[in-house]
Amino acid sequence: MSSHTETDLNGLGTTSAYFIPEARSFPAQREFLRRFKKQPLGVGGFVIFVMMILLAAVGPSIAPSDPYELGTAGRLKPPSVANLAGTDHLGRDVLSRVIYGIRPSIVVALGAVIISVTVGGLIGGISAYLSGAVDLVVQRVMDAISALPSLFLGVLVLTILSPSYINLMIAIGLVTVPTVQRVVRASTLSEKERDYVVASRVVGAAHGRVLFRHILPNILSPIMVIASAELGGAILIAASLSFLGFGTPPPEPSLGAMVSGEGRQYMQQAPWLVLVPAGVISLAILSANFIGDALRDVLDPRLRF
Amino acid sequence: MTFYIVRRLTLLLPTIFLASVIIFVLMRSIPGDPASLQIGDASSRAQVEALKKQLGIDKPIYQQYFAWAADVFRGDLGKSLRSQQPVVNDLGRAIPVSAELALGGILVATLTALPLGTLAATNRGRHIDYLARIIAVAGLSIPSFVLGTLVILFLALWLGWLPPVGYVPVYKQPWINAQQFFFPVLVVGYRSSAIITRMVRSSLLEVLGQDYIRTATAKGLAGRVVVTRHALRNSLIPVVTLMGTQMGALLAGAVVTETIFSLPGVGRLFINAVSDRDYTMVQAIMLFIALVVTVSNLVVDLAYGVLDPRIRYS
Repeated sequence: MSSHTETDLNGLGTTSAYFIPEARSFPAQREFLRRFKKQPLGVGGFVIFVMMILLAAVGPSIAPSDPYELGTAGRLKPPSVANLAGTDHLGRDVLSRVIYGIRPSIVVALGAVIISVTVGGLIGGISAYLSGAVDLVVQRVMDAISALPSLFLGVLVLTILSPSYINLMIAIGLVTVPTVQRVVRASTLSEKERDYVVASRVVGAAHGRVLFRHILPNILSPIMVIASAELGGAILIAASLSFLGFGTPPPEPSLGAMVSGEGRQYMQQAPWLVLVPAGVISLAILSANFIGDALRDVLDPRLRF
Repeated sequence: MTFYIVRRLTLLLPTIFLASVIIFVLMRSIPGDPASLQIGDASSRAQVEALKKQLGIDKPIYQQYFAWAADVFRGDLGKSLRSQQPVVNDLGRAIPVSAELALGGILVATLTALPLGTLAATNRGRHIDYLARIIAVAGLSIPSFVLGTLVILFLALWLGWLPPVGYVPVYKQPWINAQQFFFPVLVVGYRSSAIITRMVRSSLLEVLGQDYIRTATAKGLAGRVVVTRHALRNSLIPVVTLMGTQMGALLAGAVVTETIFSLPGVGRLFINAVSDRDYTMVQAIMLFIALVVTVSNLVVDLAYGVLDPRIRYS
C-alpha cells in the first residue's frame, strides 16, 4: 500500500527521496549509450566479446589449418610461424582447434541465457502476477531446485538427454532458471502494485496484456542485468561440463575439453596445449562479466551514488 | 526463538521433499538401467529382469520412490548398486575430503574478502578500488579448471614439485594432508573470495550512503571507527547470506578442483556414480547436499539476529 501513497504524493508534485520513477525505467537509447561509455571496463569487455562473436562466426574460414587434420609439422611442436600456438599430441594445429572451439562455447552460452531468461522470466513473472497458492508452490519448487548444485544438475540433465550442443544449452539454461525467475519475480511484485498497472486493469486489460505490454517494458532493466550476469556464468558452466567430460564428444574441438584429458596428460611437455584454450576461455568469461558489471552500474539506479 | 526454529524446520521439510522428488525423477529418466549395465550385453532378458527384481527397480516409479523415502527416513540410504556396499560407507569416506576443502575455502575467502571489499568500498573510484574489483572479477571469470591447471603447471615446471597423490586424513599425517590441500583450498577459496568481495563492496557502499553514517562522520568520529563500528556490521547481512550459499556451492562445486588435484571427495564420487548409473549413490549424494544447503540457509537466517538485534524471530 505504501507505494500507492508515494505515487500519489509524487503526482501532486511532492518529491520523495525514495521514489524516482525515471531512474527505474529503461533509459533512452542515447542516455544509455552515454552512461555505458563511461564504463571503461564495460566497453573493453564489449569489444573483446564482439571479437569473440566474430571469431565464432567466421572462425572456420580464417583458421590457419584444418582442426582435424593430422598435420605434417609433427606432434607436440612448440609455437612457430607455421603453428602459432604449436601442435597437439596428434600433430593438429592448436590455434585452429581453439578458433573452432570458440563457436560452440559462445553459441551454447547465448542459447542457454536465452532459454533461462525466457523460461525463468515467464515463471517468475506469472508466479508474481498470480501470487497466492500458485506463487507459493512455484517458489517451493524453485527453492528445491536451488538446493541442488547446478553443476551436478547439469551433469544429470546431460546424462538424460545425451551430450549435444542443443542439450548443453538446455541443461545450462535449466539450472540457471531459479536465479532469473527470482529476479523477475521480485521486480514484477513491486511493479504490479503501481498505479499504471491498477489503471490498466481498471480499463479492462486482459492479464496477458497487463503482464507483457505494461509490466514487461518496465522490468527490462533488471532482466538485462541478470541476463548479462548469467552470460559469463553460462560460458563457465559449459566449459566446466566439457572439462568433466559431459560436453560434446571428441574429435569436435571444445575449449573446456582441450584443458582436460590428453591436454593435461601432455601439458608438462607442451604447456601451450592447455595454456591457449585456457586463456581464451577465461578471456571470454572475463569480457562477459565486464559487460554484466557495466550494465548493472548503468541500469541499476540503486547502486549508482 | 525456539518457536521460530521449529517453524523454519517444518518449512525445510517441503523443500527437502521436493528436492528428493526432483532427484528421483531425474535419476529414473536416465536412459540405460543399472541391471543391464551391470551384467553386460551378453546376458539374457531373463537374467536382466531377475536382477531388476533383486534391485527393486522393476516396480512403478512412485512405488520405488516411496520405498526409497521410507528407507531414508529410517536412516538407511541404501546399498550402492555397483559395489553392493551401503552407500554410507563411500559417502562417509568422501565427506571429510570435501568438507576440509569447503571449510578451508570459506576460511580463505572470508579472510581475504572482508578486508579487500572494505578497502574497495572506502576508496571508491580510486586505484585500490579498481585493483580490488579486477582481482574479484578475475576470480569470478577464471574457471577453477584453468586456475587449478595453472597451479599444477607452475608447481611442476618451475618448482619440480607436485602435491602428494591421493588423500591422507589430517589426524593421521597432518603435514602430508596440508601439502595435499593447500593449493586446492586456495583455488576454491579464490573463487568464493571474489564473489564475497563484490558483495562486501556493494553492500558496504550502500550502507555508507546512509544518513546515520553521515551523522557519525559529522560527530567527528574517525573514518576507521565509522566503518568498523557503524557501517561494517550493518553491511554484513547480505554477505552472510552469500557465505551460506557458498558453503553448499563449495561442497559440490569443488568437483572440478577435486578432479584436478585427484582428491577423492563428494564431487568425484558423484561423477563416478553417474557414469556407473549407480542410482542409490547419486540419490544419496544429491540428498546430502540438498540437506547441507537448506540447513546452512537456516543457520544463516539465525545469524541475522546476532548481527542485527532489530531482527526479531516471531
